[in-house]
Amino acid sequence: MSLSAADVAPAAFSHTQSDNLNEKLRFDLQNLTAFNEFEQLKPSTSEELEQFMLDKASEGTQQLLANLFSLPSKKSDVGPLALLPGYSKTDLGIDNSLTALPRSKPPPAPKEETRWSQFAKEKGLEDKKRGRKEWDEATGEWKVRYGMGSANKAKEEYPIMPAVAGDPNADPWEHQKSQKRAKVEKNNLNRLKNQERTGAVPKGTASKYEKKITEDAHSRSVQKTREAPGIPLDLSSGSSSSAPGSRGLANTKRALEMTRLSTASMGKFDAVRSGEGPQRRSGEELKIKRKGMTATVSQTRSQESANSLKVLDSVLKGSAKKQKMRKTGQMATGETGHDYDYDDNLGGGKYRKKKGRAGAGKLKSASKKMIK
Amino acid sequence: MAPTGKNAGKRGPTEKQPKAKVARYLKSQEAQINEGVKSSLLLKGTRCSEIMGNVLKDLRAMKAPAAKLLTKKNEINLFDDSQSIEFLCTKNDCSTFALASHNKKRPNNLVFGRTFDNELLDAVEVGVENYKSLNHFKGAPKKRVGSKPMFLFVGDKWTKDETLKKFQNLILDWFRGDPVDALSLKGLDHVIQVTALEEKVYFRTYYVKLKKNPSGDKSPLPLLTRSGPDWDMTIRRTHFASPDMWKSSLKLPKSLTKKKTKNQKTNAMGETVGRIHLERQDIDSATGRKTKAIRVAEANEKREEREAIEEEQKREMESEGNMDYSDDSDEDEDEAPRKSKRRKSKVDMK
Repeated sequence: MSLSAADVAPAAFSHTQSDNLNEKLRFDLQNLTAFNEFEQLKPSTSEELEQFMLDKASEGTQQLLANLFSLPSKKSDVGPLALLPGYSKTDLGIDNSLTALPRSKPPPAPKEETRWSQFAKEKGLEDKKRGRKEWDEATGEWKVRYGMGSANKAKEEYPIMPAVAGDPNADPWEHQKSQKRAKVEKNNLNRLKNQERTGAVPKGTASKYEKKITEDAHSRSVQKTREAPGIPLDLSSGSSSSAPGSRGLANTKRALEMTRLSTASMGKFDAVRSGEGPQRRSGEELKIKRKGMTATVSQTRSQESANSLKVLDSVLKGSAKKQKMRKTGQMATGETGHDYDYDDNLGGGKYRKKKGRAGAGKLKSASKKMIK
Repeated sequence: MAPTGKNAGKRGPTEKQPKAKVARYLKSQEAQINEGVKSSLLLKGTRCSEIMGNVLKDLRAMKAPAAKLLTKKNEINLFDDSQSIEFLCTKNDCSTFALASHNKKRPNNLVFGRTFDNELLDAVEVGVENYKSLNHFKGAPKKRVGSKPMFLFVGDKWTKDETLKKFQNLILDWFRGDPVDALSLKGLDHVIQVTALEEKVYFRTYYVKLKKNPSGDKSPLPLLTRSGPDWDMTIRRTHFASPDMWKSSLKLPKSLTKKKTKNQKTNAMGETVGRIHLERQDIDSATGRKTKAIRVAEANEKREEREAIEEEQKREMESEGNMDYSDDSDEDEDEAPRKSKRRKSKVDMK
């Protein structure tokens, strides 16, 4: 009979004797947990309590390890791994040994396949990963497949641009551009259709984009047919189909009205010719007022130039209100940084850099009013 | 910066793709089939004592690297308004949190909580007493960074008390680490024991050294030493999820749930036999798809019939030339076959 180390020095193994395993534990091996569900008596002193807990822990750990080491294992690079009874192998409602723990996020919806991936699946096509560089026969070197310095781009650049095949009068550069544009648009449209199908993008986006494409194409064709710049729009061939190059009665009347309105006084003091009726739309009706244009107020050069710049800004960028809306991201069509602002309900903008009167900003009229 | 709550991951109606950086960020925030470890956000409340500060540091040490310790104080009262904690958890990409605070009314307060779908799921507020930090057990061996803990829940109250039942679930979720399917058992080096006795919950951590079993078993004998952090808890306030939210948080992705195969049985020989259930078939009136052979055969039949009829007609035309016109009975036969039957009989009788 062989002697075991436990027999020789029992004290050293007092915590871990297998005889002490008298309590039946319930195990959840997936989470490496053991549950001792028996009623326990609390020891009176704190030292006894600690010892009690240590004993329970030793016993429980030993039992738990026994169960864990009896699990099936698989080989791997880092050594043998015990295969835990995963959730995928059992039905969570039935197997009570597994503790149901909640997820962080709801499970993702199964992704709808794109038309190409469905086709590829049916045909059994595999995803071939192509390298970043490509051998270019023409130059005899490795070039990137797309982007700057790629062979594709080089193919499009001709030292002597050939004419367009069908139409010798067409602009070959325009033709090249339009072909590329058509390709990009087709690609985008298909991408949007796929995304609409999967729900990544709201329904109707693809048709809106399609509409936009046709509108852009139309406007481009209209621009081509327009005559030399400088000719008023109502004279161009696009507007009146009956007599191109002339306004027609209605448009002439309209033009006259507009010229009348475009004086400094909105046509109020203009001499009325015979046959010309009263002004149909007056400046007062349209509530257009020109501020600061009276001759009595002496404006400094800076103020006048500032006013002119204001007018220029509103023409180029839109009214001040519109500019503000654009600045705060209200006119954005996509994502902006403003979307991610967190409103902590503390109210913003109450911080003042300087204390007292100085922090109140520009005072229009200096007074001794109390500034909080 | 993340859009919080239900708006996470949604784009407006535009044909433009987001920038690559934004796209990468959004992809990282997407839900995954297999979720990894739940990161913990450790933060301080309105006022925090030194002890509670140490508690947070020790919690970070326990959960490293899946823990984020914030240094600033936050005016958060999550039992009243959960919005700010939800925002912080979403922004820091943590789904569990521990909020430490200290005031006269609630000394040494610690709130353990977790979120689901960027909303507060559970929160349990405990008072921490008799705290022994990692520093208290300075010389003792400690667990390695990132190792998975073993758990031990002692006491019958864990199954009897509803609050404790849910708290047990929360503790398990909070401390368990990466939910893996295969584990190297040699790497197990600590056990967390949570005992529920007489209104108090005792949290103890022991360092485990695996020693060879003298009896020759495959499983080793563990040698336990106190390593810290240890503390005693009294449960204060709680907030648990509504049954609906709890149910939806447990839902597994469809690809992970076992699919039931119906009408298939594997017998003792190892053969898989399937059963096909059919409705009653009316073979006589059933119409099916015709194959080419059947169509050709039918066409041939028709053609033959037509030819036969034509031949007969030809013969009759020829025979008509030799026929006696006075014979009425034959004519009647051709025109109205039914009527002629009767007449025929009459004629015969005559």
